[in-house]
Amino acid sequence: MGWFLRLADAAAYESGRIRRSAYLIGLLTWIPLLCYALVAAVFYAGVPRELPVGLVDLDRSALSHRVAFQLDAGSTLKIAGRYDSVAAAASDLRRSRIYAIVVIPAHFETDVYAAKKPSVTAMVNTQYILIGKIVSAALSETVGHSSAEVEVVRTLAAAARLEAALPAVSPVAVQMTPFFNEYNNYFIFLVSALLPALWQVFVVITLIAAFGREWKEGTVPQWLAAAGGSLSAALLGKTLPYTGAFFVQGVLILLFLYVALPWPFAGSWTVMLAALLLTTLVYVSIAMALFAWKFEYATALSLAAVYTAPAFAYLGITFPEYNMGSFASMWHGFLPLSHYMKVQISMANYGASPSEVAGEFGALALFLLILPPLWWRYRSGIGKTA
Amino acid sequence: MKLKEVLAAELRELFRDRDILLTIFGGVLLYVFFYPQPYLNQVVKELPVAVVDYDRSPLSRQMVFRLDATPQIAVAETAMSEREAKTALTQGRVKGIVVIPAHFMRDLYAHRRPTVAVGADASYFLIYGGIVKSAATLALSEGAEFKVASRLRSEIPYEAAKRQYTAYDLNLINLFNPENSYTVYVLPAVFVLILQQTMLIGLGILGGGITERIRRGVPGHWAQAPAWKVLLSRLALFGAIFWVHLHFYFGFGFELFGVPHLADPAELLTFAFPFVLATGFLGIFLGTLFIGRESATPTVMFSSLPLVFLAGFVWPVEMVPTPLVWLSQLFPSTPAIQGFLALNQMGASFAEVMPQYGLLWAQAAVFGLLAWRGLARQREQAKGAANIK
Repeated sequence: MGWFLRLADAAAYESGRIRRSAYLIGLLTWIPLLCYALVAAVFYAGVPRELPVGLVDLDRSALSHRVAFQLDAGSTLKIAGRYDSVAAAASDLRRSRIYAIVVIPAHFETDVYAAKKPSVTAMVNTQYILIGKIVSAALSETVGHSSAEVEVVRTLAAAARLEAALPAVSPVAVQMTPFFNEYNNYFIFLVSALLPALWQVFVVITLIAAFGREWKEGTVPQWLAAAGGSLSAALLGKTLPYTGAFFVQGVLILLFLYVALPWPFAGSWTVMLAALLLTTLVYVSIAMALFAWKFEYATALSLAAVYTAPAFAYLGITFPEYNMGSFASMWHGFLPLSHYMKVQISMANYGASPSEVAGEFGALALFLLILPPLWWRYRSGIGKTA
Repeated sequence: MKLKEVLAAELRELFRDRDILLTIFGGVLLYVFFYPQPYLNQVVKELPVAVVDYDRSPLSRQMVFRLDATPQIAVAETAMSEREAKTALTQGRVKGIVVIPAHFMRDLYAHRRPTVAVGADASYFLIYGGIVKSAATLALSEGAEFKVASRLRSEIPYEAAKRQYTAYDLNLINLFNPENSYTVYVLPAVFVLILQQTMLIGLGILGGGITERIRRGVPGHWAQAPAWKVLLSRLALFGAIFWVHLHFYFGFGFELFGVPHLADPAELLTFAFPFVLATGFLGIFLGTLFIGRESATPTVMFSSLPLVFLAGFVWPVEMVPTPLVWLSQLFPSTPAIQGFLALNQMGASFAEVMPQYGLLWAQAAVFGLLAWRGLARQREQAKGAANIK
């Protein structure tokens, strides 16, 4: 009972410290929210539209105009410039004013009607892989449809029935189904991972700030005294307000993605919130561990930078974990965020059952094993300071 | 104070501070190896797929065999039903499903246009794109083969049959990163950002530390020397260090990870010069605003992810709300990434990156002025604090 009172006192002490510090208040409120809003705003459009491409029409026939019209009419592409030659278009391509150059060759129309199968050439800037893929896919689809249209007309003349004409033109149909992200929307794909990635940076930085300032200002004895001398109550009490605040932030992020916005959440919210709480505790512990390396504020921040800043790349969202090398795969496992994201995707996208994510919970729980050694480390570290 | 003395004082400040050294030497060295690790395999290969073959004809078996043979796909499981396949998907054993309908071969020959269904986990885009594109291409080429075969049967010569199977087609040419290598995609841009961020953190820690000492009334060269001398010395010192880092990243770093560089070294360095200036001045200016040594790392870290996605190489700039695009123009990394990518990866001429070059110089001028004013202000504060003492 006494221990719990000391815990409450320590938490109250920390709350007081937070209230007196504009910086800590900022780190818990408007600074992260601003960052989240900024990132969400960048991807607000969700699906790339009207991506600029350039056209070089060396034929200028009815058919080439038709092809150009079809390219422009689709929502993905926009013919931003018409050039007399590839060389003229190339400069704009290199300046990223256009992302592709579409060339309709001379004698295009005559060749088509003479069944000579000319080619429309598209030079796509694939330095930008994502944009390149979108542009290529849109071009393939449009040219494919456009060509089939011509063929159907030709074949109709011979077959006299559409049902007979279509299989002659395209014997196999392919039905493509995206599972779990039906609209192929980049917002939910990226932002659902970016927000937690930013969040974990804030958790670690803020916790290090909390401990770092205590040491830097030399108020460690007061802190321990507030907890009645109990180190465990002091440590837990100090971290309690932050754990609460960041848990709330995590909930807000989930609500934003899956309630405020219409992205589906197919699984159990209880499981999701449990994962969030566990992940928050894990990051709090890791922050404490990073600080306990040298008990120096600025050094701990540098370590935090190495651990948290590159995390997004290791998550396996943009580049699949499946294809990572052994070091990257291992480091992926060392990041609590990886496990949290797996739970989030399993719950939101797959509607998985709790047993299917038990492994991730286990991995997260393993991180908490650092707590007992951490207690010892703080005991000896404080002994030296006080 | 003479300029030489100021330079010596700045040098001492830098090399006495372990945290700054850790960031601008340790960090730079670490990050060149650490950031690329996830992308070492460059492309996505052999994604596991479950195939449900309801047809079990020679043709469908050929299709399954060819599916497995494509580099992007590995047929990991052949399921008895779609439900089985879907379970494998949600359990993560496979990332995609291909369903070949019953009577596929018979329907194809009877011109009844059978449908092959391809589905993949779109939670992860590279996975979805990789599987769907490869599988769809394969299914369509089976169709195309069939068409050619049909025409051959109508006794059209093979060459003509090959040409006639479609009215016209698309000849797609991949420029600048033809194999779609992820390292070539990401590293040139991320390297530029790392250089900027580490330089800003280093200068920020230094500046913040000075502010702390001014508050405590600790004397230093910043109180005695005129601001322009401090500005020049600090810029020269950090600028020189980061000039070397630039070579390290664009030379050794690019070589190590197989990133091509098309730019003429002289042009590259000419472009880099205002980048180092602008970043240096920005760092010095921020340093005069920070109240302590611990302000720099968090502030710079919070800006990293937003800056990556505002640079325009991942997400098209055309899709970003205009106010955010303007905001991104305040940071040297934005024009620098765009310019370096154009010069190194796309073989652009210097004239083609003039807008970015101009912006970097403009930033250098503005930040230089702000940095100078900031240092002058710090000097006043320092002299004031000394008087009070």
